[in-house]
Amino acid sequence: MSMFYHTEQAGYTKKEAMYEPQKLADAGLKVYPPLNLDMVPPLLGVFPGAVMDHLGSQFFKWPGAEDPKCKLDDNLPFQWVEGEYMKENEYEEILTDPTGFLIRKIIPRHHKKLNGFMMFLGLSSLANAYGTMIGIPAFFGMPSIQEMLKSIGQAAMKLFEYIKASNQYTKQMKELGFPVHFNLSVQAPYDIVSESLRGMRGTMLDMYHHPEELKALLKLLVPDSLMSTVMRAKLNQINPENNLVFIPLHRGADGFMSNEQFEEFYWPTLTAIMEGLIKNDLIPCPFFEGGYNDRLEYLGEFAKKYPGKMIYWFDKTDIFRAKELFGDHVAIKGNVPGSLMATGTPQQMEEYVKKIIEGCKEGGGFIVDGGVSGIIDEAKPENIKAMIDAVFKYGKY
Amino acid sequence: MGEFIKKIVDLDESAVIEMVKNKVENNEDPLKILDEVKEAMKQIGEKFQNKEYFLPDLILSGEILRQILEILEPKLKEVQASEKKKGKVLLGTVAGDIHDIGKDVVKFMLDANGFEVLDLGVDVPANQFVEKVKEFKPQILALSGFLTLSFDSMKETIEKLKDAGLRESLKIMIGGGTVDDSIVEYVDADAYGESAVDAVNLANKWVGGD
Repeated sequence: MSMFYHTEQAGYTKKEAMYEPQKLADAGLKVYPPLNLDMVPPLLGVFPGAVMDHLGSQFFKWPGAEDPKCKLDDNLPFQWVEGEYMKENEYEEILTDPTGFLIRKIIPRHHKKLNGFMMFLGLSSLANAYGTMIGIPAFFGMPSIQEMLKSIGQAAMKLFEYIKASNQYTKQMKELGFPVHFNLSVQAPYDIVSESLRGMRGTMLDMYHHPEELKALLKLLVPDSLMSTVMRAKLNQINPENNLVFIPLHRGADGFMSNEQFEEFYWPTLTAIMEGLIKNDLIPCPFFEGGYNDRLEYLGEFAKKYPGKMIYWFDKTDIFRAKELFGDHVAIKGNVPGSLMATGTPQQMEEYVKKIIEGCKEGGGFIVDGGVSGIIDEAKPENIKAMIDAVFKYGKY
Repeated sequence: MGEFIKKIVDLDESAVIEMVKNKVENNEDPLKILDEVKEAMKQIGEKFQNKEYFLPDLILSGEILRQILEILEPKLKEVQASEKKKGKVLLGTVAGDIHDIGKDVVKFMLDANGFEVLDLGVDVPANQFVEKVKEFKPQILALSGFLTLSFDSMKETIEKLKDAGLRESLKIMIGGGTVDDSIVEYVDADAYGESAVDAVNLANKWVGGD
């Protein structure tokens, strides 16, 4: 996994990476094959800036953004704009009419050029055949909506350009013998609520002030999270043999909540999705960002329920303890620190990789990768080479 | 421990607000109320260190504090002017990074524990840190950075402070998701904190206080 490492190495700005998908792909094809990785990063870690421009996206700031409020310097990566997009007093609305609320209220708040959706048909009109017969053309026929559709059309063209470049990259890498790490991803429902709806602070307070509503909202997100991922897997024609599902986990790490809160709010809906993925022959690869040392019992219990069906990717967790507790049941991945990639020496890198291989090699199932989203943007190439060389040197047994 | 302090430490929000309103009606000294709140925040910090409390509890305590201060507001201006602070902390997220949640929790905890905090916000250029150190004269500089690009921004900020002859006058702490001991060495800071409570402990250690 990576974001901008290959474009940095190829000499492109982050703005170029986000606005010129061909450069994003070309950089990957230039930088990764010589490294001889077992899995190459997908391009999906870099988001298409032009799509966000055409939608008027508000939840990121990024280099090259048309909206001055969202614009960052050409050499800065995109960054989330935290916010309570859904207000505390809107739980009743979202639980009563979830899709309607998201379409009419959240989409316009996330993307300002999609304000027209505020006028989309309500529940009773949609349920009523007469209502839709009149309402659908009335809505889509409005001049302001026609304008909105033009923006969406432009966003779609840019999105397809990006997907085409990503698919081409995946195909070419496959021909060179390098599988792409993953095409599919899904999020924990708690992270969706915390990142895109209530904000981190809002969701944390909701655990105290609105626990039952929060849990109801989390449960609502499970079926579609699962089914949409399964559907995307079925529609994949480029590399259908790749059944890994990347699950970046952000807000359930040590410190971000107690074990009791983890058990009540974070873990059940995440495991429900992972169980569903496994039952559909997909391989969950939860990326436990931060530390999960306090949570190892939960992780172990779930791993033992589905032996040989998942990859657990670790960052700051004690990887040796994880291996000891459940390494027989789940593949373990990680956990070269980003700080070592950026500021360490090749010698220090070799020592670190040797240490983790020796500690985790027993019984196989260990994958060496960075603990901070794989290869970080600022990684020194000599350290990445040292990391890979160390795998070949110490990883044969 | 008094009942009021206990209720705050227990994060019994409704009980605390009720008690503060009663105290105000009974003309209790707002300074005394704030002293008790500070003691409660200190104990909350200890619970965090002992892993009885976690970040949501700190956020909830911040929300309780916000409501207490709102009720005390009419009397607050006098209070703030006469309140003696332990020390001054200049705080900001370094250049290139716009993340602020962690920084805001650090600010709240330092403030609640008796420090005067000047928060420069996010994406703060190195030069601005230098100017504000000269102007505000803090004992402590706290640099926040979530992304890995913050390593070099922190390094540049500290180098510019050295060039300006200001490094020796400061203790510098850094924090953020990807920061560790090797980054403390890389950027030439004095320490890093994994949490807002670590920030308070470092500040207390460096400036005296507890």
